Amino acid sequence: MKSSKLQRVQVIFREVLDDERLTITGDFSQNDSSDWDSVATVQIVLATEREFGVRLPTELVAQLKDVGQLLSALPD
Amino acid sequence: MNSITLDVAKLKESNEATLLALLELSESTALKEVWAPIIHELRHAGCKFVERFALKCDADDIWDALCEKCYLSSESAWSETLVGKWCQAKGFEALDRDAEALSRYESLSLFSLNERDSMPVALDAAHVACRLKKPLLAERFVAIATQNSNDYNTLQRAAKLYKRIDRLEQVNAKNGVLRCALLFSSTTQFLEPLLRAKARSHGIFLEIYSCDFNNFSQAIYDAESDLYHFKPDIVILGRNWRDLNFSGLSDDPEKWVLENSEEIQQHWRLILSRLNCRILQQGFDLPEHTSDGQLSASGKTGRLRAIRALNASLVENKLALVSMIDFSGLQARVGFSTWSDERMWFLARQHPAPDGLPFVVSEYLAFLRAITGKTKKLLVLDLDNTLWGGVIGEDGLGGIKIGQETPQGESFRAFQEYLLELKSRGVLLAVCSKNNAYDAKLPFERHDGMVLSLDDFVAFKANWQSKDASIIQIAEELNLGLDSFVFVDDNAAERALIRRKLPEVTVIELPDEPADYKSALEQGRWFEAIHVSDEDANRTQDYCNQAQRRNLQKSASSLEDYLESLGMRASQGVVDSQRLDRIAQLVHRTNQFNLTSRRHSLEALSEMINTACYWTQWFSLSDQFGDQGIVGLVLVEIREKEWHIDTFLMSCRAIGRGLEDYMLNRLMQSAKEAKAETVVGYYESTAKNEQVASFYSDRSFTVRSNTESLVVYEIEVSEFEPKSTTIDNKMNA
Repeated sequence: MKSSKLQRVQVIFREVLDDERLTITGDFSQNDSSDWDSVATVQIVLATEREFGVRLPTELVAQLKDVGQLLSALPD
Repeated sequence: MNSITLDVAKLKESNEATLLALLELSESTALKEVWAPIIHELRHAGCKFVERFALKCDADDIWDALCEKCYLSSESAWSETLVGKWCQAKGFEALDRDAEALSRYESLSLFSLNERDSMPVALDAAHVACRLKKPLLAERFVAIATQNSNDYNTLQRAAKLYKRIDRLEQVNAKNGVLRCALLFSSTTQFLEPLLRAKARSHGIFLEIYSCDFNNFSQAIYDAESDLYHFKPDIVILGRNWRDLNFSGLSDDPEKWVLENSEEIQQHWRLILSRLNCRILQQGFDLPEHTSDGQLSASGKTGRLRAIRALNASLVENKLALVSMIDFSGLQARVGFSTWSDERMWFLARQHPAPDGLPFVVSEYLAFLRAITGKTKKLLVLDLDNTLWGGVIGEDGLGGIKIGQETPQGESFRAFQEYLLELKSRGVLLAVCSKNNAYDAKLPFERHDGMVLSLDDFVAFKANWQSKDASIIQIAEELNLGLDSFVFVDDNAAERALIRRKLPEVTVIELPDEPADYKSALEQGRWFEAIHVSDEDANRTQDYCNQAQRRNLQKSASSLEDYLESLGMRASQGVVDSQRLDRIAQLVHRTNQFNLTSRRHSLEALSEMINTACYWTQWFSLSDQFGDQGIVGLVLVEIREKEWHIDTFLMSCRAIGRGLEDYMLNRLMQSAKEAKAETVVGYYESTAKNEQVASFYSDRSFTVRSNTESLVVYEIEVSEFEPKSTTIDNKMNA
């Protein structure tokens, strides 16, 4: 069973990368999707901030490459 | 983990945040045994709850179990509420039973939910419709969400869905394509999808050209740039405070303002000299942080003061083809907390914050609708609890709340004052109320607290028939399209009825609080205009005269008798600069009796009247009931011995009176005097000008060529036989 956090993030990735069947893990990274460009990163961050009610630091956003980084910045 | 005991009675009354927290801690047994039986009774559950509940059920794989217990059946208690039905739809989606999911979504009355919840559910429904390859249905769901939402994430989702719909079926956009160039000093990557989606939900399909980030000057100055090759109809100049260079400000603020203002005016002149387009200039917003505190607004070298002066200077020097967006005013309405996110500038050169973008896009859309003839014309109003508090038929004259005695009465009065302002700007008002006619008129005639009076309305329907029938009657009587109607009613059931029966009518989602009516109505910017003319203030009177004419028509024995008895007189003349604003308004607003619907810009029109190769003529009409002002226009391009009718249009107020023949006779007469041999007419079909499809063939023109959307007609001048009319020539202006 996936953690609820990962599940909620997966909904966001499916939406932003426009792929309804997408399954992600903590290892899922920019190399795994050609649609994950810098614009997509910002969209992912905005949607994640809204979903979890947090504000992510600029440093993290600028270096965001994989799902694991994002998960570690989110509350349980 | 020790489980938590949930008190079911308390859960039912808990707010959504509490529900979410408790749901998070629940395991699959609790989902099945505690939550499932009471889903439909959770009073404060909304969109977030449904999403999370569905995710939990997905993760624990319990939808099959819930289905076995009949929760998804249409007989189950879940079907009794919106949240319940939504959960059922989510369940069917998880079980790959999309057809059943869609039928649940379709049975939801979306607007009974609040905005925050109803828009996501519409998009969920669109997703399923896309999977089932039903593009039209999907498009309808997305349009509802897109038109009504100002939420960034919702609109981004909608934009993605539109792309998905396009992959299913290329929507035919021949009548609504608008070419739009974005010259911005910030990135447009986040704005573009929103702008495209909002426009499309209003029936406008955009081709967008965007200059490279902050390369707008180069695009403007270089005559060979992509901007000029793109040939836009609209150029949006998107500046903001960040691109202003403040370094010269401390030396001479006035010079700084002048230089910046002149640079922008130079941009306007260059663009307009090279393109036949309109410009939308975004004024400057204000920085949130100013190191000099209050002095920034009042000190001689203050930044806020300088930016305000620059905005004022742009408005002062505005050209006719330039429209301004009051960007700092918009910023104030939206508020700094939504408008500013410094991170987004540093990370992506996005300004303002993404959450502010939906509001920016809504402003653009009001303008785009205005220039494409999609501005609304008539406001249909309910009475009880819409124009006054209470029910006149039950509470009586003394019981209704209107006027300055009570706070509630004051809020209704303020709404009426706003409506009166709209009326004086040329918006038509009509009443549609379920009431006895006598009761309905009483407050207008006898209550001191009322602002509106009976003669402010062009139609007054107070009866017991269904409201869609009354609205259709109003449309027929005034000869207006339903898509120019806006409907305001406090009763959700009436709103739902109109949405279902008359989808062309725009229905305002009125809040419970009368003090908020004004902002709900204003939010959609339905009545935005780009020109103001003398005819605006008299429009209501014109339409009332129209109603009197109709009465006369009813009592006349034949159409000829009726037209004869009107005593019509026309006057006409060459289009001159003095009448140009009204002419431009006609060119932009006229949809039905318009043979070509070519929306010439003010500047293009002004060029036409100054060249010898155009014959132009305006027509005005008056009769015993009053003067209607300029209601007809003909523009002809003269190509040696051939006269080509570029524009032949008539305001809908003048339809059915024979003016079109008077106009054509006049045109043919002039062609003859100018020794032209052939007159060529064009019919370009749109969604609205069906009624003039056979205009030329009815008058003995023959078809020269015929393609899908364009028919070209011709007639030898010597062979034309004028139709007689009952219109006298008043004078030659």
